[in-house]
Amino acid sequence: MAITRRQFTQLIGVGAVGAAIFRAPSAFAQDGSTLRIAMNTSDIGNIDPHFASGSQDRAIVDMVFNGLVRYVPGKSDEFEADLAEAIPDPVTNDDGTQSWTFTLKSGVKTHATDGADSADLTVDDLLFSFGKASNAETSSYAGNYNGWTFAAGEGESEFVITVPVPLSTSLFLPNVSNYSGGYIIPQAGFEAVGAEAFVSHPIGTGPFAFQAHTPQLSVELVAHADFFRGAPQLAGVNVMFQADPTARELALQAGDYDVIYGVSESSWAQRLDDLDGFTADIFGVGEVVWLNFNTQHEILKDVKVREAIFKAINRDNYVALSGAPVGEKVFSVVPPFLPGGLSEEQAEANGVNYQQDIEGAKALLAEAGYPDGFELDMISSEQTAYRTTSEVLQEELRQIGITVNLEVVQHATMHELIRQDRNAITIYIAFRPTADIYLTQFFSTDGGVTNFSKFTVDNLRDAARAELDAENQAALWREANIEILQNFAGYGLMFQNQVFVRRDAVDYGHELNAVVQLYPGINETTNISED
Amino acid sequence: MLRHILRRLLLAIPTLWAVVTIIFLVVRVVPGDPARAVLGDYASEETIQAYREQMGLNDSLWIQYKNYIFGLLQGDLGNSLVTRTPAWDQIRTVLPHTIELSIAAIILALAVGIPMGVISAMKRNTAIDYATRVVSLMGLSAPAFYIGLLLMYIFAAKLGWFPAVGAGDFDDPWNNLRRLVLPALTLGMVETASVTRMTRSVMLNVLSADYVRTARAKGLVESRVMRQHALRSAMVPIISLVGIFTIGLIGGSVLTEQVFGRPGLGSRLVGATRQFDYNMVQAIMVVYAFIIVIVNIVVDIVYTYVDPRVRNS
Repeated sequence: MAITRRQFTQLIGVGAVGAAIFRAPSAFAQDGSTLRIAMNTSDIGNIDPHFASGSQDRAIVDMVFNGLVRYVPGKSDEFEADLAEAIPDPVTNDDGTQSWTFTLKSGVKTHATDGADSADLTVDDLLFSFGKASNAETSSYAGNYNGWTFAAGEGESEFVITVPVPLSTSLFLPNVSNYSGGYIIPQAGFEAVGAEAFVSHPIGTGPFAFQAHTPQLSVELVAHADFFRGAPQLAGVNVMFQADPTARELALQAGDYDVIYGVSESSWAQRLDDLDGFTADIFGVGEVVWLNFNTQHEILKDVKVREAIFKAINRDNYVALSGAPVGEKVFSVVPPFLPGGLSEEQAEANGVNYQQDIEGAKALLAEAGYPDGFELDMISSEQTAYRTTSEVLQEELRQIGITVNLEVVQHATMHELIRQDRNAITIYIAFRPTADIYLTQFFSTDGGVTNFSKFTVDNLRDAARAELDAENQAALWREANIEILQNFAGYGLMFQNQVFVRRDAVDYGHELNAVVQLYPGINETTNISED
Repeated sequence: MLRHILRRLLLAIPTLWAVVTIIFLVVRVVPGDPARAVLGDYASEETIQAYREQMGLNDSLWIQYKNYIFGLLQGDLGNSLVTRTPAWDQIRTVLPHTIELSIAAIILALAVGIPMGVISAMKRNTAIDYATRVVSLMGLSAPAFYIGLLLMYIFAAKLGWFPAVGAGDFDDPWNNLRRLVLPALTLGMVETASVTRMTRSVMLNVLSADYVRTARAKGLVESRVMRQHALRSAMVPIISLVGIFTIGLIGGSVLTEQVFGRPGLGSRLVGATRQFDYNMVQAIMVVYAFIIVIVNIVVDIVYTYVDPRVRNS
């Protein structure tokens, strides 16, 4: 087949415009009242609220869904009714169980989608949603609902949750709030989208409805005009993905973003805050960084070795990675901003505020039979917070003769390997909404593969669970934390606050103290004052 | 020519099969669990196991391979393990952005690189030649992400001439073009440097050839000697280079895509690898291998057009 010069030129022309033949979805909304927030990631993970765990996923979920109750916007320690008319008082039943009867607000509209028109949220939706949240096959948070039962109440809008043993409000409410399994999924929307697609196409009742997901670029949310608290002031929210912090910063200055996920460094936050027209917000909740010591490890099973390592550690070195006020010290695994966490004074008073003592540490190692130290292999995630924490620990342990052979792997690989007991000392960074969850997941027999220390405080944890008085409950949690420290099983280093930077024109609509969803909290009151 | 193309396509089948098989095995050798990556660190072992069962990850390697190959033969690239939507749907969304960026970068590289290379060769060992060589060396040495951030700082953050991030909408060509300029410049500058150096090198060889001396001796004007005798001969290796660039750009523009927050095949591949999204990685590699085959065929055709020796053979 011969080809002429003209044909060849035409072929090249066709190839050049080939890209334009493909249709790509809209990338950026141009509406001035659409808030553009850039998150530190390259894409979503899973935005089914009962699976969502990444910061970007939790943020999207929080704007699309509601719970029966909610954390007061901008606060992490106070609840108010959301889908429910009010927070009910619990009733203890004759069989020892406890029931909470919620009355669903009327006129709560679900988001519309293909195959499911917008409709009033019903008790059936609540039954469906909690059924899903409490099933391990359809929820990552099923463990929080072990033994719970759900039923329609006597009244048309009544919904009854029965728990096997009486729980305090601090243990019960987080599980029915706007967090994890507590988000309510309307059944018709879920079924119209399908379980498979729902992980990237959520349907809820929140102030913003899902509109589109462009892989690696953005998730577009539009205002839910029939939102039960009133129509949002924003036209929508574009959650955009930009993993590079320098590019995020420059794009904010160029006007492409209104809000960006920041860098966890106080000096960085201060520099951005000093720029005209921008404000850096540093707020809770903090993600705790702590060490888990495997008490059954061939070397670390000797309590003197663990104590020696405790004496090698200086919390200031870890806080310096972020600098105050982004980083702050913690004195137990449960942070001081949650009930049950130890303050510095409490740790001091109980003799568990261990200070760096290099010579003392060396002496203890010698006593344990390791005068020349030993070698430890350690897996670390590539994520900055994990990697830098590992490097500081490596250097501190080097000072007492312990050589840490650090292997840096992908984040998901680290999570896989540490669950196979590959680390004698496991660094973990996480926020959990209650002390009970920290203790259960990491220091109880129920923790399973995440009980990295093999040390348990089951009795104290159970006693705290059964305690209905908030003060007594917190005291039991503190006792559990003291026991963990006395046995050198876990060592709280610091917590890292959230850093976001916004244009001054952005008003979140609430004071920003702490948000459990790890973003500034965007809702119907959020607005942009000028454009 | 048609027979030649068909033959090349048929020969591509075993290549594609080998690529698919190797990728299938390699992604599973890396330690890590896609279920954990997808469900996060909060998920219980029970939830992890349920997910693995749903997604067929508990099947033996052979069953997974068999299912995958059967799906592939029916044109099914599989579903993403993360979003559970068809992998092709995501590829179809990001591929136009990659093609657009690659074409823009290549056009820039050729439009600037060839004249610079020719001038540099013609003015050998002059100030212009030295300047061109220094600039092209800088282009080759500077990492794309650095050039990208520099351009973003100057032209987006400070001057405000172009948007800093994102990809445009194909329905809005003006907006699309504005969002394309900085990434295309970033990628194009690196490729321009390569084209310049290659053109200069080839032109130096050609300019000392007998037929060029003959053309000059018979009194042709210099511009005609360059256009009809020297440059046309020099185009053959440059076309090879363009083919290699095209393949490299489609998969290798990851840094530029990430800095400018653009969707693209390369960055999607990196994202899928990090998420242990086996199916997505496999699907992208199949598309990538297919693109390589097509580009090679196109290069062959262009060779035939440009080089009479190939055409006549």
